[in-house]
Amino acid sequence: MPAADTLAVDMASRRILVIALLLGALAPVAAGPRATQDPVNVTVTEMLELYDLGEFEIVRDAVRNASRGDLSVVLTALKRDADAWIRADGDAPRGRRRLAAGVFALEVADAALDGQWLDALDLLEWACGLMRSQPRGSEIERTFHLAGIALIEGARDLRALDGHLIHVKARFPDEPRILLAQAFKAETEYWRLFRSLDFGYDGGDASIAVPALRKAAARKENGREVNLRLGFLAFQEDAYDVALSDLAKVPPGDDPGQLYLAHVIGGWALEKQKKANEAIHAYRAALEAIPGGQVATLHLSAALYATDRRAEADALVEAMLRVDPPPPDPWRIFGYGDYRRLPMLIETLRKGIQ
Amino acid sequence: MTRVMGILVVLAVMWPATDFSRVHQTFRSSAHGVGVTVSVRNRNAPVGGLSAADFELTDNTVPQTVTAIALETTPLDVTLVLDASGSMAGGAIEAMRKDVRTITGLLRPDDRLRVVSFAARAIEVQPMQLRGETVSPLPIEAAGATAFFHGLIAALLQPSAPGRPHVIVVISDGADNLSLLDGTDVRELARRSDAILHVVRRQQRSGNVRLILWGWFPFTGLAGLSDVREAAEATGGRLLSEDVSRPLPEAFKRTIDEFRAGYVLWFTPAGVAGPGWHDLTVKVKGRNYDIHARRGYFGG
Repeated sequence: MPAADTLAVDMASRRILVIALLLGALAPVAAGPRATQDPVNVTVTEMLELYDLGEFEIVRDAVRNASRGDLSVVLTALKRDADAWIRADGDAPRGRRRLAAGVFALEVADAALDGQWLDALDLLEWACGLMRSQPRGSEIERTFHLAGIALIEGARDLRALDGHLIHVKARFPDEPRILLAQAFKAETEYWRLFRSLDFGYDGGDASIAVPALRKAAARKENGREVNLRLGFLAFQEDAYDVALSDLAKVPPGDDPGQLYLAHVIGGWALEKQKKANEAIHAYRAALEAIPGGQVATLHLSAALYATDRRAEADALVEAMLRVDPPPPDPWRIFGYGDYRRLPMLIETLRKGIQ
Repeated sequence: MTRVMGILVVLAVMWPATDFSRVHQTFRSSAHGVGVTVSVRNRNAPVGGLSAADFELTDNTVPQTVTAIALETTPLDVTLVLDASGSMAGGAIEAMRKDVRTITGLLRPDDRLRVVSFAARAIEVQPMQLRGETVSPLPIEAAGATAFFHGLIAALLQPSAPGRPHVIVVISDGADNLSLLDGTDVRELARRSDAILHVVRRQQRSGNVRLILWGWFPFTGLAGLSDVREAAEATGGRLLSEDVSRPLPEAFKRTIDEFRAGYVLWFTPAGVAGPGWHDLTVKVKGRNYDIHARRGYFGG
């Protein structure tokens, strides 16, 4: 097996092989010399096999570890070997295997998002083609495409987003998230970081983003996310009453990050209005949605500190700093559109495989 | 012409004035007394040998009677706040680890050091502990966006231990591109903090801010720096700009040496209302020192 076709993983990832051996999936590996080498080489088809068996977390961890290296080898191997792997077990499981290969590719692309986006995009396009190879679109395929949108928004690659939206529209013309993705593009213009040579930020142009978001709100499925984003734009424009009104239309749903952000931004708007106690209440609500969220913890602590409740503020920050790793904070990726939803979408796709 | 420079580092702290033996037991706010740390410099040289009689201190313009104690032998608590964002990956973070080891060596055995790193999130990589108990090498990895203000605020919100002056030294080479809280918040919190805040901004020789690719939040140019400067000065600390090529421990050593050469002025507020903001001024009698002092404190 050529080295370029393998995914190098470190010693910690040997457990993949152990599990695979227990499952009897990698008998040839056990017999071969690779099992005693360091680093261990695991083929992409072996990873697919494990993924298809439901060992999602182990495969994902191994891919993330390997993402420090060169993931383009995975792309090459998937393109060459996946089709044979999908057909290898007969007709019955072919749909499931196709989905497993597609979702595995999504996971790899996500791992490569920060450092190897162009390779990740290639992989995503390959997987997208794989999913569109069936004559009719299914709900699981729809979920796959939504995950694709989320990933591309995570990379803020607006050009790739256009291309992907064409695919989605062709398969699912009524998909409401298409409107939201188009609004994301307008919103990205607002957040464009380097607007002038001196790196100054001139405040963005809400006149482009707001109409696009309102258009997206025409579909009620988008309502909560649109109101969250409109609320933040209003906050940025110092329109705190408007912001609070929009954010109040973000009720609890299936996305705790959405609720967390609505409470954090709402709390901040209340602080700007000198309503410290209401702001503190909002920050506490945010922490109910995402316990330990650092941004809400810092806002809450700062508000408590400023109102002479220092003991509680001290304790909150002290505890916050000692959690390693800290829980993911939705604020960190608020500017990346639907990327916040990617873990939920991948979870749905994994269930589809099982 | 001889230019006399003085830098006064002031820490507003409170203690029960009726029991002087407890002065070093309670630096936190109480209704009884205030402790103000002061360092005085003359042409960049610390001025030693001053006594309470040399100082004039006013609280909301009302002169106060002070007692002075030299800080030279007082054990310090130091919180080192380090930028571990993606821009520090590679050689820079390795150099920082080495710098922290050197900085640790500059402390005295009874000083304590806490290390907090920040990127997109802030983490305490070493709790406050005596110099000899420090972990080496520190588990700091560089990655992600720069939540500079969040890191700074997390440090300011840490409690100061009774009886131990608390110096926060924040070191960053970049600009914030993620924090929701900003320089205004830092300024407000600094006024209430017991700690002395020093911020060392490491910059490229060209003076340009490097591109930051990991954060998404609008970078607001350098406007936040004036707030950071005000915040540091409000606590009696300073904003320092250092070329990245200069050894970091040098700046740290200057800061700590300056602090150690100072004094604590203690007074029981007299003739002023207790609650709310108190403006402080500190002078050295008969001397035209250029005084840089903490601007005040919140009364209980």
